[in-house]
Amino acid sequence: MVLKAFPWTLVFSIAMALAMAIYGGLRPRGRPALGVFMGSLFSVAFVLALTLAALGVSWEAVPSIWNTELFSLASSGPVLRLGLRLEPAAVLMCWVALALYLYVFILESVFLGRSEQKSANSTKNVTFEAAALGLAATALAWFSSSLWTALLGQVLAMIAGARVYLRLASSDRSADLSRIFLSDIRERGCGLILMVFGAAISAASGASLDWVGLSGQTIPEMGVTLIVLGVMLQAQIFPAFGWSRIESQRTPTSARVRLLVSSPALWVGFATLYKLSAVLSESYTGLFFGVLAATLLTALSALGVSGASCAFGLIQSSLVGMSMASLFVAGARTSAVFFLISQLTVWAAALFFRGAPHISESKVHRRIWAGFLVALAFGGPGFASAAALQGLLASSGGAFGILLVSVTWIALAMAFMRLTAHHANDLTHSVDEKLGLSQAASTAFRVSPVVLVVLFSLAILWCSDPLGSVGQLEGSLGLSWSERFFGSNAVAQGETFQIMLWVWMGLLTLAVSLGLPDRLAGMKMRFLRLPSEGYSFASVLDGVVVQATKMAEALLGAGVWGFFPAFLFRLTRRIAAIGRAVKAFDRLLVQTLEEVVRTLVEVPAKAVQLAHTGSIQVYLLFTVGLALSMLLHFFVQLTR
Amino acid sequence: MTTFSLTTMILLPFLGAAAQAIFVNPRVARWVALSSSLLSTAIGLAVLGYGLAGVASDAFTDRLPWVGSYAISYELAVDGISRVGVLLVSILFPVLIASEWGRARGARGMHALFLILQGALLGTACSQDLFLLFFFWSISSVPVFFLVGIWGGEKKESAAFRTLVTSALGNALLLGAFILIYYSSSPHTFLMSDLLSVGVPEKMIRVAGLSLSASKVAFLFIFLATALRAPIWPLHGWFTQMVAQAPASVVVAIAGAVVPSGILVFSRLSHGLFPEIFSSASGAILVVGLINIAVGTCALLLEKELSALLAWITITQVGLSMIALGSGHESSMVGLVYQQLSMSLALAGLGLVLGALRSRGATKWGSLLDEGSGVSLLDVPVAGVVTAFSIATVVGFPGLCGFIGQSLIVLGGFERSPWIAVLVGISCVLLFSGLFGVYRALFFSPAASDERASTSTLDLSLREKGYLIPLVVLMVILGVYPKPILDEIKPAAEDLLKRVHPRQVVEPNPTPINPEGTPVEPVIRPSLEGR
Repeated sequence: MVLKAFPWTLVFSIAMALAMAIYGGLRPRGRPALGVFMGSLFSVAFVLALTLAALGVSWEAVPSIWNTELFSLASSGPVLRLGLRLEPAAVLMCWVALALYLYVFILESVFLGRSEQKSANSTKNVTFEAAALGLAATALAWFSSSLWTALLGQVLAMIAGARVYLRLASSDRSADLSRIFLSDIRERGCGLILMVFGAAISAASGASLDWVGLSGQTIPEMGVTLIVLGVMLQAQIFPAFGWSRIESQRTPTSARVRLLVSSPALWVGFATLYKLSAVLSESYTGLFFGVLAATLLTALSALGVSGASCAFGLIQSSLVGMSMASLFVAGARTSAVFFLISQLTVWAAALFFRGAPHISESKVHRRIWAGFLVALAFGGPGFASAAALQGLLASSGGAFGILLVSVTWIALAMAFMRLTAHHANDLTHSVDEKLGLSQAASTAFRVSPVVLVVLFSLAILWCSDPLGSVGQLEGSLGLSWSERFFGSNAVAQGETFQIMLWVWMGLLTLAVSLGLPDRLAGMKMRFLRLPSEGYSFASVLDGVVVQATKMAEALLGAGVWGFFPAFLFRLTRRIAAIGRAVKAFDRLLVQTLEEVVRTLVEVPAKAVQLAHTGSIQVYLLFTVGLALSMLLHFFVQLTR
Repeated sequence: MTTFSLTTMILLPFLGAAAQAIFVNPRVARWVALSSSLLSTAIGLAVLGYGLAGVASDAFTDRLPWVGSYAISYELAVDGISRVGVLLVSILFPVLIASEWGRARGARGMHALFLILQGALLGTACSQDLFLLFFFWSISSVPVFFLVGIWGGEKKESAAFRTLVTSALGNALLLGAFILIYYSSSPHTFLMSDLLSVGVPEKMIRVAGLSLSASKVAFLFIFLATALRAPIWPLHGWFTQMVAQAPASVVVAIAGAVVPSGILVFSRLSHGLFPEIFSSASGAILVVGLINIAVGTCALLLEKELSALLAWITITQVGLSMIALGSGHESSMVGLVYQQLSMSLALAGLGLVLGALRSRGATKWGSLLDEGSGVSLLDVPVAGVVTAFSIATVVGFPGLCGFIGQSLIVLGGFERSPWIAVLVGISCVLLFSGLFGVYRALFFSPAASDERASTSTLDLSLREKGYLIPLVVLMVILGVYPKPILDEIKPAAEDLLKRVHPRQVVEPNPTPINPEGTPVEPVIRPSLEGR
């Protein structure tokens, strides 16, 4: 009964979300009662669907139940299948997404000041519609039984983003907002088309694109590459982060807007790649490095932008990019954990900085907020890079290989975390001024990433053996926990949970502890000597950061941004030139054909016309000629 | 027992057209026109419904002798593919009649011509006799001439005449092909069931001292006839000129009904009558399709005229259809048929919305991307949504019917060659980019943003919403739940493909003992599943 009711309830909630968005768009000044009614129906249906899912799914990791396709909408043989499937990973992700969206509405109401709440009410309707569509898209993607259904979720995510902009545009008709919206839709649309073609090409190889049993099938690399590229466009990862770099003073780039516009696409995109992870982990090393490089460039670009809002968007994209890269090497479950943590970080940070000027709690709570969030931001990229490192170590062999890979990745992880910390420090510095954090605490945040990375490296070496295989935690609570909550048919069988999660959680605890000033005071006295004029360690690090930032700016400013826009512009001009040439040739060809046909028709037509209506002179000439020839003929006859 | 339901379906529009001359009152005449079109649509949907329910095609076969001395018979029947042709005509024409409801002058005449066109295209889809098919197909040329010539723009006469001449040339080629087929077959027949069972025999003809294969010449004639009516680049000049002059509803009728009907007819004839020739020519057809899609996309990127936009979209879709035909894969064949239905809906939505905005003076039919030539989306939300859905269907967004057909075609094309998928993918991205630019120019015009007060009454009226929103709903339903239509198309598509790649089937003679009492040898014949 539960299993039968769940798919219908979910489809009904998705239909309600879509109907509400369309109705609101078509009748912006229409009867609000109908909109509220539809919203209520959606809320009840969606929560009911998730509850049924939580009750109906098997949390005991029994694979057979996941093979059931609960709801099949359409199928054309093994090629096109739209349906839903119940899996623990899907249930968990959707409940977390629901909690996050509720957080947006409930907690922000607590943090916002009264004057801001009044203005927020004017956009509350549209944000509810967008949130409903975002949740519907997320649910459709995570509960999908095939790639085709996940693509439907992507379309809903695009509509969710469009809905927010359209509503905002009703009160702000600026060209800037139009530019952002159109840029967003253009890039996401191109990404969606790439994903569609990737899916079609993958299906052409004979794969059903049903998530069950995808592993082991031969899928063309072109197909997978197109799907991954499409998801990167949706996530606004380099080089496709046009809209997140647009900064305007007049446009409302509030955190809530950014979250509602961008988050659905990220959740759906990650769901698609999560379910493809069995395929991704088998090969496609080049693709992995491409995604990782793009992610790093996105993160580095965050250092170069001036606006905190833009930087925030780029950091969000880079965290999602890290999750995607982790899928190639660290396994689906590990990547899903990191994705969840990064999303929690992003949402919390967004709302924290959104509401920071209006927080009315005590300074102690604000310091804890700041420390916790900054530590999460530091830990996330470090965790992902460690997971990637672990995967690479497992695949490479020999002591020299281990050393080379270890040194390279430790250096890279250090640089990445330090750069992220530097920018996070700027963000927190502005908060520091409002919140009044002490100099010692601020310095602690700058030094703690180094400590974290050193501990990471030690942990990795501790867990490794000379042959390069990294220790696995098997048969323990962590393993069954990960299988319990992240179970999915898409996850490769026998995948074990990585030990790095436990290392990261320990480091996180350390970072949070460092963030509490009262403890810091004691540690300052006993363990950490952090006088402002004391050890030059911090100044050396600052010097490294400055140089690294300059290099990053040079690389990105001249090397990358100096190249890509010019390249795209040249490409666009060439395509336009080809188009002009084609049109000119087409016009010439049509005119030539017309001339030929006209000539072929005109000559005999004129002759016929002449014979029919013709001039008297022609008739006279003809008659005279005929008469002369007849006379000549008779004359010749007579003379014979 | 023959029910003559197909005959009734085809006859009703003609009767409705004739009634326009009888009922002088414009209001009564309009309702008679719409009623006859809707009745015909209802019968067409019933035929489709019975087909989905599994009723055999024989139940809807109308068969009467016509010109017995030349083996010409009046035979109508439907299979999976022709049911789709009936469906798209049945959906489109009531919408077109409703779109011209408020025409001030000549509404009766226009409705009559639409009804004649509807009847002719329905007859084309259902004809099982080549002569009858030619009869209905050539009738369909006549209303187009008058529709363009009377209600067109400044250069309507030139466009109408050129359309008629091109159609006549195509019809002449088609007649020539059918006559060649008639005289090649033994005994002579126009009946498709007889021709499909034995095939078109190889016969040589002498023309100007050259010895040519009659079947090859006939195939070439049929292809050229299709290329002239479809239209296929480079024989598309008449189409772009016609689109620039004709009203939006006429453009939709041609692009959304006549062109898909022509493609479906070509697919039936080429696979059914000339399987070997088609198999060897499939590569060339593929190349033609790629050229069309490339030319259409490149031209659309730079197109500044709203009217020409529909022309280039049509040419691009014709190119995609040729690619589907040339791929020779079952998925492509199913996708080809489904894509005709999708494009019919998408072009109808796009063309009629643009025509509605144009009629209000909201957009200029000339230069599109000039400053101030568009409106604000917030003032025309319904029009914007319909346009967005139509463009998304053309581009192939998931959840809409265009996605199904396009994906199936790309799937089959990839089997033939990966480059097909790459080139189609590139053109799709460019197509989206171009159409997106058009959408931006139409609905996000900066100058229009400042003129809110004057443009508040531009949105679609209740009547316009009444026929456009169902189109959008259909696009979504057919995109999310295509299964019934796909299941209907698949057996007929398989049957056609088997003729190009035949499998020999040994089947026992139903009467194993002949009159002399000796056993009869089993007959080997091509599989006829799905008929």
